[in-house]
Amino acid sequence: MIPKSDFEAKTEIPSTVEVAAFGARVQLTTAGDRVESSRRLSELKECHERFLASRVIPKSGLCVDLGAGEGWFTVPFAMAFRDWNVIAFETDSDAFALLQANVKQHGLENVVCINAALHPSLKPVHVQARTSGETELPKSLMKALGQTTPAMFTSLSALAPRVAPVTDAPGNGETLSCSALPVNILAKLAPDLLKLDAPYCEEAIAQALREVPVGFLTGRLYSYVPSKLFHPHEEAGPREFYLPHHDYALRRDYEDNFPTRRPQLDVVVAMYNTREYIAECVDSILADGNPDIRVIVVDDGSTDGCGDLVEKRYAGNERVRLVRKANGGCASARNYGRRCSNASHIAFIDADDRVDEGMFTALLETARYTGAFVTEAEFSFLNVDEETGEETLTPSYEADIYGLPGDCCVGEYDFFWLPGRDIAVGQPTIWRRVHRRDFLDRKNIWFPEHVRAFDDQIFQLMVSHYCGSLAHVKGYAYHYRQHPAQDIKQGDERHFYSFNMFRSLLLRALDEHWADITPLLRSLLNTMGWSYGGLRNDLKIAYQEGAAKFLAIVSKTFGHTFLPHELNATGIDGLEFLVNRHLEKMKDEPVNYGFMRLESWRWQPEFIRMMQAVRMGG
Amino acid sequence: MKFSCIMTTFNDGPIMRQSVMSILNQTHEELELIVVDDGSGAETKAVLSEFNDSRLRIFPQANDGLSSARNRGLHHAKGDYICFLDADDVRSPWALAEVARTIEETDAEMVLVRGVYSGERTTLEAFFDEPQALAFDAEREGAGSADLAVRKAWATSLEPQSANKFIARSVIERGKLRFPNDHFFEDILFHTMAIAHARSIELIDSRSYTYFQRQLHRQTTGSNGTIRFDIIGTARVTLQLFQEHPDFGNARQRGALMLSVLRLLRWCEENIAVYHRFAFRMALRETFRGINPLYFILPENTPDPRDEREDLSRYAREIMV
Repeated sequence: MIPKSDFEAKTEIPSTVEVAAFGARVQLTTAGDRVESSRRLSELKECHERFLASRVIPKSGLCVDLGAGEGWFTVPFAMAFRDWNVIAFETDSDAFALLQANVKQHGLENVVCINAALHPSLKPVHVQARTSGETELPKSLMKALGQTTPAMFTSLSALAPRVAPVTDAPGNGETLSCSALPVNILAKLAPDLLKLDAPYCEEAIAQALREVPVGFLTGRLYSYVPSKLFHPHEEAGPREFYLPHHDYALRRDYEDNFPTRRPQLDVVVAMYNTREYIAECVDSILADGNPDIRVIVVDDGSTDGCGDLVEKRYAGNERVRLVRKANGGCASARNYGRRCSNASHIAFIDADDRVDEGMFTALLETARYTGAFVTEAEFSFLNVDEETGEETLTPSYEADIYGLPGDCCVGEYDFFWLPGRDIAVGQPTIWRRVHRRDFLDRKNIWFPEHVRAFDDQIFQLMVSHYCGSLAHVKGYAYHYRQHPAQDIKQGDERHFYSFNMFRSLLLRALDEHWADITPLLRSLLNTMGWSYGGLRNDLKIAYQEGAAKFLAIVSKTFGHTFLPHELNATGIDGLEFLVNRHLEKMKDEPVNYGFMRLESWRWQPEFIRMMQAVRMGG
Repeated sequence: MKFSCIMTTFNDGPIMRQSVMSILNQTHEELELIVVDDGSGAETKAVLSEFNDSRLRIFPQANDGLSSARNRGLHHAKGDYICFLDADDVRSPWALAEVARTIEETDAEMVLVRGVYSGERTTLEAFFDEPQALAFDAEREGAGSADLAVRKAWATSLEPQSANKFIARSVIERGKLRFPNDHFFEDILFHTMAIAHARSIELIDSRSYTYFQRQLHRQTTGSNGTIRFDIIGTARVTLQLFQEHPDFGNARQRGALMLSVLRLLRWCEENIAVYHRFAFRMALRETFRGINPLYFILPENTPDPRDEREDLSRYAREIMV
């Protein structure tokens, strides 16, 4: 009835295919369309069989097979799981006839076949829903299943004999009438397991099942569906799914269903005396109304009343949570927020910045579909003219580097994969990223709390090393507010934190045998140059000597040779000479990891201050 | 006289109940107990939530190390005098009262006390540095008095244990005293520099704390792992800082410090895993080459009641070869 696209298939006679899946072996009589057969087989083996192989499904239950075809899923499933009942939907009358024949031939009494597709425009049925755990369906529901009506579909030539409901599907223009049922019948059936093959009807199906206790979902998504629709409403109970979509898959596992982890994004806002900006910041995160994105504002002992402002402004807003703690610095506030969070994804942003509307939705969506450990947005510099209050938003220097649109996409979001090592060098921009919490936990990536500067750089370097690659999403930007006098620009002792920060990374590199430390060392030299350039004059000598000794130690630890031009490029006066002098003194020593365990008063701000105190005449 | 008692914990669990109570039950009640929770799990957090005493202040942080936690405690301390107690040790009920009386009588900026050692056998012993304490008493008695230089020498020779001292907050400020972040065996640095910056010191015969050697409780100093390398970093910075201080000219004090450092270094080297020993020595030799050579001259009158001078000098020479 539905036209076939494969020219040869039209002339081919039905053929028998042996199908082995779920531990069962069956002989299926099929239409003989070779393109469709191989597609069906790969769905069965690569999607459904792998999904069921990786789950613990109940011994019995109700399975609904949407788009059953000739019974590729239904027949082996019903053979393998005799205590399950299957309701198989197929609207193509040719395929339906073969489906019925295949079911009959295998003597499957636990299968009911319905000659219909689902159509979102049909009026919802008002019948009694199946009680979860019951094998018998209510009579009214049984009756409704029989009352199919014709509805308009378009044929999808590339996916024939599949059809898509005429509402918003990009069909080829040819419409045809097929027998159908309203989508809400699925909610009434409340299947324990749903296998779907329903092009362009997926969003309506996801929507209909939001609050229905469907424990398991498998099947290809032909159209992009916002992931939040598949994540069930809390009352629906736990749900596991595996829904491939192009190169990626929307997936939720047993682990994600622990009551201690919500499959959502928490944006941690570390706040210290930013009363002026905090509302703008939080509002921008909430702007697109995505309920899967929540905000944790950590008041790090502020004294300007910004905590009270947040408490008042967002009272009753369940998406915003305020936690207060004694002042302990940005790193401690971020870690505190993380420990307050039970979300599967986490971001850390600054309280004086803001984001494009929908930025975090774009990142979360990409993260969920790709499973990326880290996703990042673009960023822009936000300048506000002090006198006129006029705002200017300038795309960052990255705009020149990453000019092209992304070569991958999830729905409307385009992105590309950026190798982790590409974020090792350069300014820390952790605030524009979404991290998978399990990734951060497993790799033990935290903000070191005793470091009052560079804590975000160490974090970024660890992410860079461990993440493999990260998804760089185009078209959404983080607005990084520029202040005339930013902290670290004062050129004080805090610059010396870079030594102990890099040492802790280098010790990790030794412990874990990092194969390549060159990105780390490039970042080290970069940081040294940057710090030295902005340093107060009276601290420059200590930094110069500290840097020389540090680099000599790194050389002797890893057997690494720094090139003269690399050292000179830091702008630290005489660095090459000083490093070589240290190395000359150590020339009889072998390369040894023990050297990385040295410490110097020049390598930590606390020690520098203690030395200053000693010299001021103890 | 208000005391700030700083305690840090990482998963000490129920064992810390008695440590906390030993502070809150002090006969001298004017105190604050600052507990820095260095990223403990639920069990320890539950124990901490049991206490209902406004003098207890809890500061959580992500697991960032003992030194970092102690420094956080120092940052928040508001008392006139500061002391420390590990979360598995105990402060004697009269400890603060006795120190407060000493401070009132002498106005000392730093008071050093004695401890009990609860070892693996049945008897309770005096803490390891009892011989030093007794030798100091004998010397003072013999000479009729002891000046600051003598006190500093003997104070430096005491075991660098965080529970054995009470320090005026002004001394902490003056010396910008902190524990070495990222390193264990942190006490030697703090102990040495606190004594160097103090302008008056009392060593009193007060049984002020009990140190427990425990069989079933994790103790950092009991491991054979790479944290034993930390002593090298801590020792290096301690020696670097002290050699710039005027007290470096006090040969007995300098000798006492070097004995302590050498004792700790040798102990760590003896206990580190065999396959790390060579690396340990390489790093140690590099450290010794960079410090003032006067450190290696240990005068005969170095406080040394345990007679370790010869032995430890030999160890130092062995490293340098």
